[in-house]
Amino acid sequence: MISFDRFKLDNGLQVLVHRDTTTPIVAMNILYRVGARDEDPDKTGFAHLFEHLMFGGSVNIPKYDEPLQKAGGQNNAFTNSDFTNYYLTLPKTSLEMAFWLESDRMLSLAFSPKSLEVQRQVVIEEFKQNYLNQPYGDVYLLLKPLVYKKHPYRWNTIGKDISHIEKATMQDVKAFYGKYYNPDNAILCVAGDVKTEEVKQLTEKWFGEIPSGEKLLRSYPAEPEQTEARSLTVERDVPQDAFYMAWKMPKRTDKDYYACDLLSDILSNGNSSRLFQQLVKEKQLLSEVNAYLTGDLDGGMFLITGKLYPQVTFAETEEAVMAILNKLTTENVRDEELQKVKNKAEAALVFSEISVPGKAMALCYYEMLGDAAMFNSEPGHYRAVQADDIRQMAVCLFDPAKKNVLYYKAKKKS
Amino acid sequence: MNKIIHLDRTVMPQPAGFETLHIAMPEKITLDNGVKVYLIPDENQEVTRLDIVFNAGTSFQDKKLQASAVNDLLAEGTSRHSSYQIAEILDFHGAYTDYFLTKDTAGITLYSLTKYYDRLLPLMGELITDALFPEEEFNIYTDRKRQEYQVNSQKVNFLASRAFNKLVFGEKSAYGQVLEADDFGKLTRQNLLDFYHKRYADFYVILSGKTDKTVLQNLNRILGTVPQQKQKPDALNRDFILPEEQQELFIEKENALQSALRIGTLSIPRLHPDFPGLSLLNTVLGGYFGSRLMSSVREEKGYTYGIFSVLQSHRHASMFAVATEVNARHTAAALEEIKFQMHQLCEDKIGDVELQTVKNYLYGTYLRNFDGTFQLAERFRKSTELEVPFSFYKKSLEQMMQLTSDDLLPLAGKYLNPDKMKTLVAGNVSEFL
Repeated sequence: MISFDRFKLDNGLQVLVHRDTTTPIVAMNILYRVGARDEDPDKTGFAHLFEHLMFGGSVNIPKYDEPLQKAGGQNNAFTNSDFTNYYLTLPKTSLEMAFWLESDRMLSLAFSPKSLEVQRQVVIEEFKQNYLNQPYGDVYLLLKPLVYKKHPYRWNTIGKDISHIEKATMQDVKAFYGKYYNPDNAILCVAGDVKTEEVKQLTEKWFGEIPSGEKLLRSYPAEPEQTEARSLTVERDVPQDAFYMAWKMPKRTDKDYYACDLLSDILSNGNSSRLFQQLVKEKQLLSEVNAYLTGDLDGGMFLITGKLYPQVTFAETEEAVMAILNKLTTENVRDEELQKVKNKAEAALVFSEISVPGKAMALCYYEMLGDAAMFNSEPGHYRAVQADDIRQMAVCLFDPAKKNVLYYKAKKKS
Repeated sequence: MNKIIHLDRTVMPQPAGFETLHIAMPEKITLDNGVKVYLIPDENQEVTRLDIVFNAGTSFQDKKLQASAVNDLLAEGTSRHSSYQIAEILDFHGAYTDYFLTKDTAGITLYSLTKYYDRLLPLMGELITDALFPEEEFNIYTDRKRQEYQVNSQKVNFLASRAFNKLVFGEKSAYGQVLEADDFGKLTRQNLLDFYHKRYADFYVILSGKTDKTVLQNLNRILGTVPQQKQKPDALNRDFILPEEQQELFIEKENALQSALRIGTLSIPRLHPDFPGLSLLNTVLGGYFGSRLMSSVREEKGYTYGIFSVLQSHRHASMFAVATEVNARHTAAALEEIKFQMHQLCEDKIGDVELQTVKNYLYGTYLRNFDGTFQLAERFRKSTELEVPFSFYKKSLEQMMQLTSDDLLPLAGKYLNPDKMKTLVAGNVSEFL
C-alpha cells in the first residue's frame, strides 16, 4: 500500500504527495505525457532527444545539474513510447530547490544552439553504443516495424534512423516543447518526509504561474488487425542464432492485461517456468529463453525470445515453443502453478514499494493510467485471474495468423 | 497582484540547514554454532533480506570458473530436492535470490516476504550444506556460460574490462585472473565439490528488514546448527604489478563503431590515510554527472554517451580506472582529452566552488547510499568484505569534508598522473589509432 494525497493546480498540473517519515531523502518525479508515439514519422527519436535537451539549461537556470549537485542531489530521466519521466532526489532540507529546478524547465528552456549540437552527438553515440555496436543490439529496430505497420509503435524510442536525429532543427525542438511540456500535460509527485500542505504551498509558488498549453488532441493511427503471420530473417556477425517471436497484446489498461502478464510469468518468470525448464534444461535447445511484455498504453508486444545452441535449427526450436504455447491454449494451468505466478506478482509489487523515488515514480505512472490508487488495487487484479482466463488469453494471443518472428542468424565464419 | 509576480527565479532557494548523516550500526548476535549474525531491523517492512556470506570469491579458486560455477550452481540440486523442485519452492513464494560473487566473497541473498521465511530458511540451509552439483546440471551450465562468453566477446566494453583487470592486477595474481575461452572445458564437477567443501564451510549472516522473533528463532534452528569449520586464510598470490609501470595495450575489434577506453592503475586500499582524498579527487575527475570528464568528453565534445572514473576497492588492493566507450573516429582525441584532464588535476588547485560542489554532492550521495534498510545491508556487506569497520564510512566522509584544495593537489600528483598509468583501447584500433 502506498498512501497519498492529491491536488490539482488551476493550470492543470496534477500533484501527488506521499509521506514517508523514515528517510532523510525527498524525491520529486515528473511525468510528461509525451513519448515516441507522439512523434512525426519523419522526425523520430525526438521525444528522447528532447529528454537530453531538458538538461541543457532553462530560462533562468543556465545549468540544471550544477545547483542540484551543489545541494547533494541526483537526477535522471527516461523516455519510452508513451511518456517521458524525470526524477530527482535531494536531502529533504533542500526540498524547495526541486521545485525551483523543475518549474523553471517547465516554464521555458534556454534553447541554446550549443546544447542542441552536443546532445545530438551524445544521442548518436547512445544509438551506437546500445543499438549498433552491441551483438543483437538492432533487434528492436528490426522487430517493431515488423509487428506494427501503422501505429507509431513501429519505430523505437531512440528513433528509426540516426539521420532523423542529425536533421533535428531548433525550430522542431521549440515546437515540440511548446506542444507537450506544459503543466496540464504533466504529473508531479513528491515523496519523502513532507506534509501535503507544504507541498501545496511550494507547488503554487513555483508552478502556479506557468500557463497551460493548447488543448492536446491525441489520435494515433490504429493498427490494423493482423491477418497473416510475418517473418524477417537477417544475418549478422554474432556467435549464436536467435529468434524473437512477437504478438500484439491488449492495452495496459485493459482488464486482460493481468492474465497476459501472468501468462508470460508462467512461460518464463523464474527457473521453474515452462520455457526455461523444457527448452533450456530438458531439451537443451536454447542457452537462454525469455517471455515478457512491453505493456504499452495502446497495446504492446508479447515477446518470446531465445538463443539457439549450435546445431539446433530454427524449425525444431519453433516447433518446441509452439507445442508449449498450444498446451496453454488447450489445458488450464494447475492451481498451484497459477498460485505461484500470483504470489510472484504480489511479491514484486511489495518489493517495488521500498525506495522513495520508486514510490514517486509508481504513483505518477498509475496516475497516468487513470488513477494513482490503481497501484494499490493491482494485487487484487492479479488475484482475480482464473486458470480459464489464462487459457482464453493464450488462445486469443497466440493466433498463428498474428505471429511475427525475427530470425537472427549468425553469419557463418568462412 | 499576487506575490508570484515577484518570484525571482534566478536565485536558488537556500537549503534549510543540512541533513545529518546517521548510519545505524548493526547489532551482532551469535547463533548456537558460533555463526555471527548482523541485524539491521526495520519493522515497517513486510520483507526480510538474508545474506549468507562466505570467503569464497574468485581469488580463492585453484582453477578459473571454479568459484563462479559453485556459486551459480548452489541451487541446482541437493540430496532432498532437484534443481526443478528448488526453483519451484522459491518461485512459489515469490522469493528472489541473488547468488553474488566478488574477488573476495561469495554467497546467497534471499529477498522474500517475511511470512514465508519459515519455509525458505530450511531450503537455504540445504543449499549451503548439501549442494550436489549434478553432472547434468553442470554440463548445461558450462554450455550456457560458453555461449554467453562468446556473445560478450563481441562487446568492446567486455573485452576492455577483462584485459584491463589482467593488466592492472597482473595475470598471475589472485586478483588478475580472467576467464578465457578454453577455460570452459577444463573444469570438472570434482573441482566444484572440492571448492564447495573447503570454502563454504564457514560463513556469516546479515539479516535486514523485518527481523521478528520467529525469524530469529528459525534462523538459529536452521543456520545455527550447521557445523562450522574455521578456514585458515589461504596464501593468496598478492604479487600485484607495480603501479608505476606504464603500459599500453590495444585490442583489435574489426568494424567496431565505438572504442572502449581504459586508463588506470593499481591503487591504495580503503584504509590508507590518503584514501578519502583520492576518493574526493576521483569524484572531481569522473565520479558524478558534473565531473570534469563528463563535462569535457560528453557535454563539451560529444564524443561519448558516458564517461566515468572509479576507485574500485577489494580486500587487498584497489583499482583506479577511467572508463568510456567513444565514437571510434575520436579515439585518439578522447584519450588525449582524458589525459589532459588528469594532468590538470595534478597541476592546478581545484577551485573553491567546484570543491564545495563535490563535497556537497558526496555528502548527498552518502545520505542516499545509507538510506533504507536494504541499502544499509548492501553497504555493510561490502564493509565486511573489505574488512573495514562500518564506522569508517562516516569518519571517511567527515575527513573528506575537511580537505582543502591545498591538501588535494599533492595527492593528485601522487595517484592520478596518467603518465604512470596503463592505457587500453578495444576497438577498430588499426584504423583509428
